[in-house]
Amino acid sequence: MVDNSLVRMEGITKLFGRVAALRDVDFEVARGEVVGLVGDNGAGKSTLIKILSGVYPPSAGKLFWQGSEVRLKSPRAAMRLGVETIHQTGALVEGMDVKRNVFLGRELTKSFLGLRLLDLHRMGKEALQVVSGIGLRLRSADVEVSTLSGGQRQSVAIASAIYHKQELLILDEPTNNMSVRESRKILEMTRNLRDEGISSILISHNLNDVYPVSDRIYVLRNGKVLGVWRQEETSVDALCEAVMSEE
Amino acid sequence: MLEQMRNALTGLLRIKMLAPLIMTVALIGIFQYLSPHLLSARNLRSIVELLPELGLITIAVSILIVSGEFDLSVGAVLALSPLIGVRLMQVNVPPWIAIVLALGCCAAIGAIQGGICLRWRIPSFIVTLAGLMVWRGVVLVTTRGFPLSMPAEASGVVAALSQRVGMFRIGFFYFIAFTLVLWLMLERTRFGNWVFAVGGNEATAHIRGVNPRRVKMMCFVLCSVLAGFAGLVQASRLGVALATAGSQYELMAIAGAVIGGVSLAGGKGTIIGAAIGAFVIQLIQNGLILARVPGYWFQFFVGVVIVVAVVVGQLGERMKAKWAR
Repeated sequence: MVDNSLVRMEGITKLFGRVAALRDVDFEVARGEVVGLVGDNGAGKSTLIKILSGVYPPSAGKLFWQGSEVRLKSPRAAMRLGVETIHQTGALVEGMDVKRNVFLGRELTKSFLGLRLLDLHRMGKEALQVVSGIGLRLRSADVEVSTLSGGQRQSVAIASAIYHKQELLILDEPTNNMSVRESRKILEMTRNLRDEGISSILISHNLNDVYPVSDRIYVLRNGKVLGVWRQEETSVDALCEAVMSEE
Repeated sequence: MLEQMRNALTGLLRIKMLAPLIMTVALIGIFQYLSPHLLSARNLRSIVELLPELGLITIAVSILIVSGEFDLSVGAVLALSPLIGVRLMQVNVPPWIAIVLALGCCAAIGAIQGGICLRWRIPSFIVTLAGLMVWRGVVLVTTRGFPLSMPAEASGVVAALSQRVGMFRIGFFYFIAFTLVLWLMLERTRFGNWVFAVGGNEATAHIRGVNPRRVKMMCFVLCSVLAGFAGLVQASRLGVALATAGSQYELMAIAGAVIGGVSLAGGKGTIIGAAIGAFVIQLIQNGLILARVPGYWFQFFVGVVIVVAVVVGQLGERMKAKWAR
C-alpha cells in the first residue's frame, strides 16, 4: 500500500481463452507519482494497461479508484474517472487532421442558431498550442495525420492526452519512433506533470527511458509482478537483470 | 511568391470535392460539344426531375460508407416504402400517418440490418445483400409485380412530395435541403466527427471514447429512412408504387458516392461530393441520349467515369500529401 492512493489494482487476472495474460497482479499508483512498468515483450504490460483504461474487463480481481471500488465498462468510463491513455498503436485516426484527432471524443462546440456545431477554429488554435508545448512545430492543425512522421504522430497523441489534464496519464511505449531529443522532451514532460499533481504510468522496454523519471518501477514477467522497486533503491543494471532473469 | 502559390494550391486541393467538380465541368463540356441542347433550360429541368431519387439514395449510402459500412438494400427499401404507405392507406389509415409509419418501417429495417451486422460482426455487404433480396422479395410477393396506384385521398401527400415549385419539382429542394443538412452534420458536428473516426479506424475511435456501434447504428437507420423517403418521392411523382422501382439503385448510389470522392474503405468523403456524383450519373444518362448514343452505352460510360474519378482523386491526395508538409 502507498499513501494517498490514486488507483489500486488487486489480484488482477486476465484470461484470453485458456491463456493467462495476467495472473494475480497487484498494482498501485499514488497521487503525483510517476510509475514505471517494464518487462519483456509478452510480459502483460499492455494488457494491464488496457484493463486500467477500460478496454478489457479483467477476468478476476478488483480495481479501486481513490479508495472505492470501480468497474470500467468502456474506455469512456475510464476517461470520465480521470484516466487518460496513449496506447502503443492506433492512438490516432490517420485519415483525419490534427485538430480533429486531438479533440476526438471531446470535440469543442459552439452554439449556432441553436445547433451545437464544432468550433473548428478554436480546436485548431488550441491543438497547435498544445503540440508546440511539447516541441512539435506544425504549419497548421489542418494537416492530415497520415502525412506526419512517426515521432510527430506520437507527439500529437501525447498532446491530445495532456490537453485534457486528467489525473492519471498512461503512456504505452511513448518514445517509440521518437528521436533522442523528442524522447527527452516527453520524459521531462512527465516530471513537469508530476509537479502539477498528475500521476503517470510509463510503459517501456527501454529501461534507460523509464529509470531516470520514475519514482517506483514495477517489473512484470510472464503475466506476474516480479517485483517493485523505489527508484533510489535500484539501478538500470539491477532492473535489467530482473527483466532478463529466468524463473 | 513560390510559397504563396504553394499555399494557394494546397488550399485548393483541400477542397475535398475538387475532383468531382472538375469531372462535372469536363463532362458538361464534352456533352455540350456533342449536343448544344444540354444546357437548355428544358433539358436542365429534365435532368433535375430525376435527380432527387438517386441523389437522396446516394447521400444516404455515402454516410454509411464513410462510417465503414455498406447498404445494398436501398433500392429494395425504396420500392417497399411507398408500398407500405399505399397498403396502409387502402385500409383507411390517414395518408400522413401512413407515410410516417412507412418511414418507421424503413427505420426498423435499417435497425434490423445494422443490428445483425454489429451484434454478430457480419460484414454489412452480406447482410444488406440478403436485405436487398428479402425486401425486394416482399415487394414482389405482395404486389405480384403489379403497380399500386396512389389513392385519391393521398393527394395532399402526393402534392407535398412532388408538386412543382417554379421550374422544378419540390423533390429537388428536398434533395438540396437533405444534402446541406447532412453535410453540416458530417462536417460540423461531434456526431459527424465520430462517423469519420469510426470509419477511419474503429479501434482508435473506441479507445478514444466513441461508441462505434451506436454511431454505425445511427448511420444504418438514417440510410434506410432516406431510401424510404426517396421511394415516397418517386411514387408521388409517378402516381404509382412500382414493384421494380429502384432496381440497381444500390449500385448506382455506390457509383455516385465513389465519383464524388467517397472512399469505399471508409473514413473519407463528403456529402456534397456524393451529391455531385449523383448529378454526374444523371448527366451521363441525359448527355448520352442528347448525343444520340444508344442507351446501351450508359453503364459503359458510368464505369469509365468511376475509374477516372478514382484515379484523379488519388493523384489529388498524393499531391496534397506532398505539399502539406
